[in-house]
Amino acid sequence: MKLLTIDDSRTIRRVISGIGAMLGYEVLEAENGEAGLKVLEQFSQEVGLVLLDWNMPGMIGLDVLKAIKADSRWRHIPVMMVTTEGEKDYIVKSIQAGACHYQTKPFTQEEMATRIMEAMGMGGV
Amino acid sequence: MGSNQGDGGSLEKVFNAVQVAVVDVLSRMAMTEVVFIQRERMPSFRIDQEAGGVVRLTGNLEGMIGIACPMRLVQDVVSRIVGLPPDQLNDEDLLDGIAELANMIGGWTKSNAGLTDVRVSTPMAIVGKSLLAEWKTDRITERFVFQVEDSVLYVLVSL
Repeated sequence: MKLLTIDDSRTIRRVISGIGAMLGYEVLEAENGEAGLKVLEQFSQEVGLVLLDWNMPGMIGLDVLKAIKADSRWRHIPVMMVTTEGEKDYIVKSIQAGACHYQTKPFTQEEMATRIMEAMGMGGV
Repeated sequence: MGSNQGDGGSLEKVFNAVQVAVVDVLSRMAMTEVVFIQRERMPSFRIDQEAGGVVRLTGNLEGMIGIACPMRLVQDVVSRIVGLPPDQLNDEDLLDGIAELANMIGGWTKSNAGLTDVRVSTPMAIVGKSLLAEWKTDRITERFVFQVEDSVLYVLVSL
């Protein structure tokens, strides 16, 4: 099973890739929403969790989340928002749009690892 | 940009939130000890270190939050965050790293201060020797000085 991190920051993608590898997952990376959806086109049967930034140039994370949940090929894949946006309004909008977890940045490696394990254990929204 | 003048209580809340955000970001993401040294009023928003990152705030509160530090500190912090030795980081890694630090400090400041209807821009990063970047502004600009390991990190807030 693979994880997909969609974040415009290569620093954050690397952090998540490292944590995912530590947990035994291969991590696919995309630097924006459009690229992330293309990766899903290719690997939809193998991706077990999408970790999605909110603020990105181009398509914002919420729109990517809505696109994932609107497509019957992908809507079963759990999505975790990973963002600096910590306000209740953002969290509510994400959950309403179908996110299963919400992790604010900054995070410790242990926190992210726990979140990933919880989300993978959940197996769907 | 609109004015934030006359709302000193709110501005002070943001200034306090900045201190919390810097410590949270560096300790949680990089497992680095951070000590707040002092805060000082500045005549302008100036990045005069080898590396800098800036985000803009727009909406109910407008202004800028920036960080500035020696390149060696960026290398150390990014190395700790991504888990790679400093000599394996290239210029793109460092540019992205300092941009993400500014992004997280700006975003976490916004959350800690409970700012609603405020947008934090995507970050801008500046890296170079003998670098000097200055934004002249009539806003209040405060500079926070932190000790991080054996280096100094400056955080500028203009509101």
